Amino acid sequence: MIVGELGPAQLRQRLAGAGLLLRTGPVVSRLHTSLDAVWRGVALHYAAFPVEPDDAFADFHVEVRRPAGVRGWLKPQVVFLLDGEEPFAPLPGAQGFPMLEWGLNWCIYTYCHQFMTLHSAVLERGGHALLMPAPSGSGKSTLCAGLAFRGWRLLSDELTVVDPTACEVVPVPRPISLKNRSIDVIRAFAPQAAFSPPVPDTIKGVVAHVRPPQDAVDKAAQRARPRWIVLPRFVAGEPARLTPLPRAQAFMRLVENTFNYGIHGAAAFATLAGLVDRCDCYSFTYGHLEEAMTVFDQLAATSGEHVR
Amino acid sequence: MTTRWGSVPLDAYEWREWDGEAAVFVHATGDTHALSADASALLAAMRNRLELELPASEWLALALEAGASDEGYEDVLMQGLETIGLVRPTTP
Repeated sequence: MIVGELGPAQLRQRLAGAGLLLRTGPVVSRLHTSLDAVWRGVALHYAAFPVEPDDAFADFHVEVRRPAGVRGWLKPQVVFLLDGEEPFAPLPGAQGFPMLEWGLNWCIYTYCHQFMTLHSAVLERGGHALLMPAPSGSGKSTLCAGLAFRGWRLLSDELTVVDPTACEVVPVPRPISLKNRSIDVIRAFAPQAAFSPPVPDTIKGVVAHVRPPQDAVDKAAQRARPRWIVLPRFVAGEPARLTPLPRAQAFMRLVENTFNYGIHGAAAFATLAGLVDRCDCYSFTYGHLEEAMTVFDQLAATSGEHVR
Repeated sequence: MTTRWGSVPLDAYEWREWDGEAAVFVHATGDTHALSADASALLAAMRNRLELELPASEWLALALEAGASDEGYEDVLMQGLETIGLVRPTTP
């Protein structure tokens, strides 16, 4: 069963009651909420995602709700709970769905240590993974969204999850989080994309989520082999430019962007070195999304001739 | 008296090199470091001669044979490698 097969009333009832067991790649989360904006967000973004049976194992039991007390109704707030505990401070009441998304990301990179988890967008083409590690504000998610609607399969806009044994990227497709001007850029670039209502005044500015393309959900069990590491940076007005990056530098950027590097220690060093061994590495600056698409199309076309 | 230097045991750290630049993971500290091309060449020379203890200038001469540049800062390089736990000074 998929989420979209539940009618609105049934979905709402599940979320408010026993919980919805949502599968996103290798992760199953039991979601609870009674908040209108949150269940609407789940209905929009996760319609195509599998629902596990009620008695299945869930990795995470999460809830987004109003806090107890006066802030439940006076200037209402929202809180995120994992196993009944609140790991974060409350947020303003309109930020329920973004808080769910941020919380689910946090669950993965804080607890899923069977994987190496990198702060990096990742997409796939021809079975090969394109990793784009970068800090917030670099244009990573905008570029990721553009590619996801132009022939690349979205594996994640935020977390690159690597199986260290096989050195493969494990898809965890979820909604793409866009901020501020990127929202209108992608609205214009991909008119077919489904957006949740923009949420203003978050810590990141205005935030809106984009529903992941259907093929990202359909192929969520299909892993990809690392092939390219690209460090993106948006620079207004700059032409798109892909520049080879020394592997040692790419390696250090992966280290900086790996959430659980310290936990894995020497094994993490070996896994990331294995990633770098398998990849061509570049830095990439761009100022126009269309130009960027052309560059990545060429990258995919030319690189396919000498796949490692 | 001139300080002599030797490599720490190879199993004290993990080492990967790409195109002359290296990254190392030091087991004792859990830290990861990027090495410049010159530092990589210097350390590579020492890794290949574990039994030797030489002054920094002589290690640099060996590194030069392996392609390091001659910038005359061998003491700085060596002390940097010592700081991160990859080489050790020896007392005559």
